[in-house]
Amino acid sequence: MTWRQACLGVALALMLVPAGQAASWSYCDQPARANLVQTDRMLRFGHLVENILDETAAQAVVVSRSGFDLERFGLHYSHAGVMLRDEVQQGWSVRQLYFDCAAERPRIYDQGIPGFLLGNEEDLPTFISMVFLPPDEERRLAVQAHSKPVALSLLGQTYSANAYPFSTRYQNCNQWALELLAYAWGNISLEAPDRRAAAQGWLKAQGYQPTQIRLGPFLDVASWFVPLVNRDDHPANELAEGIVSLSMPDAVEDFVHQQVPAATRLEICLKDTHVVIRKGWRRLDAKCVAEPTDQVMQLQ
Amino acid sequence: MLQISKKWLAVLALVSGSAYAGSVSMISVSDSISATVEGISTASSTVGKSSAKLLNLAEGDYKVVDVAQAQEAGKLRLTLHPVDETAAGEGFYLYVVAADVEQAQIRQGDIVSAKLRPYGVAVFGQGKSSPFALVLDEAWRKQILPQAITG
Repeated sequence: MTWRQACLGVALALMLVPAGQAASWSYCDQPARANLVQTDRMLRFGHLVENILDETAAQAVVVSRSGFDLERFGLHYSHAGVMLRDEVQQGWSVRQLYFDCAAERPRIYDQGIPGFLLGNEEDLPTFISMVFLPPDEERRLAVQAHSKPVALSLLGQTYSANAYPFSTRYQNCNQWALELLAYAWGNISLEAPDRRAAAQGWLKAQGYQPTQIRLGPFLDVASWFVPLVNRDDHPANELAEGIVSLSMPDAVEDFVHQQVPAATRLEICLKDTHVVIRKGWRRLDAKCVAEPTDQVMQLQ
Repeated sequence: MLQISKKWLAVLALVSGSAYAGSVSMISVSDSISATVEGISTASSTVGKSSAKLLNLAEGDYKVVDVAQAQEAGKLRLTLHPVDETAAGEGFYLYVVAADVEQAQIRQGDIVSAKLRPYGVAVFGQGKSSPFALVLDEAWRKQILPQAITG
């Protein structure tokens, strides 16, 4: 079973069984087998991305990847982290938040780029976006991102997939990455009693705009039976309008661009073995179609 | 019955999808990349199961001369001899998930193709475009699995 089939399987199950039974679905249930064709392709794609990164002088990169079909919301990306050059291992690793299903809590992980990319659905184009920073911002991010105490101090205790960005009750993976950026750039005191709250305060003061999605009454229903989805951290006025604000990678990137106008962006997509590389802030389309100014190559 | 419209299915994909995207999900992945190889002449040595790079596997066609149950539950040991013995070395044992072998319909006497990859080796049934085994070098294996950081 693939990732997509798992998601659709859940959705279909919800249509076919009573709601109470649907509630027994475990968010942590995973596909029994991975698709080897897709795994082979993602590993090769990861190698290509590493080669591209190796040709840069970058030390710390804001990175996002696709994972699920979110086209209906105009989104490609679902998961963000901070990619760090590892001088000792002579490679790259992504520092990121995952929900640990065994421990039933969020944790911070390091993972190589090929592993980072493996979460993509097999029959959709795969996207990775990397934001490169000017030296000063990059150095400040690298110092804090490499620090395990800092990474852990910004980790919330409770995961929620739709965590409200200006509340410390919950946290999702993209929110952790965003708060790390805030901590690195916001001159937040080491003595701040609540670093997450301080980071969010800085984000708000800087005008961070989270992703807003109109869900209508679905959020009420989802919060009843979809694990790790909550509504009690969201403002009442937004709930009344059926709107949910959350941090998705597009919002994180837009904030970085706003804060650091000199930052540059490289986006790469893979469809079958067709690779499109674009430099700039205008995002690739969902079908991974190249424009004349894009670089195109075949996956080796 | 709970009925959900297409729009709601997409919403579900968003909220549950973003949850999935932020979860440790390496069970199936680690299973799929769990194929290992062992040099036939080193099988009883301390080298044991090794990476493709350590064994210096050659790209090419191999004959499946034996299919046996591996010690590890759910896995088979395929004994592969190079079709061209001068070009492809001595051959090797391939330990692979039994379900993948069955799905690829690999039998004793078949010819399989080993193709070198940046990460190691992909093994295909003859004429097939889908691999039935991926063998990762140790450095790659470490890169795939997320490492939790602790204080």
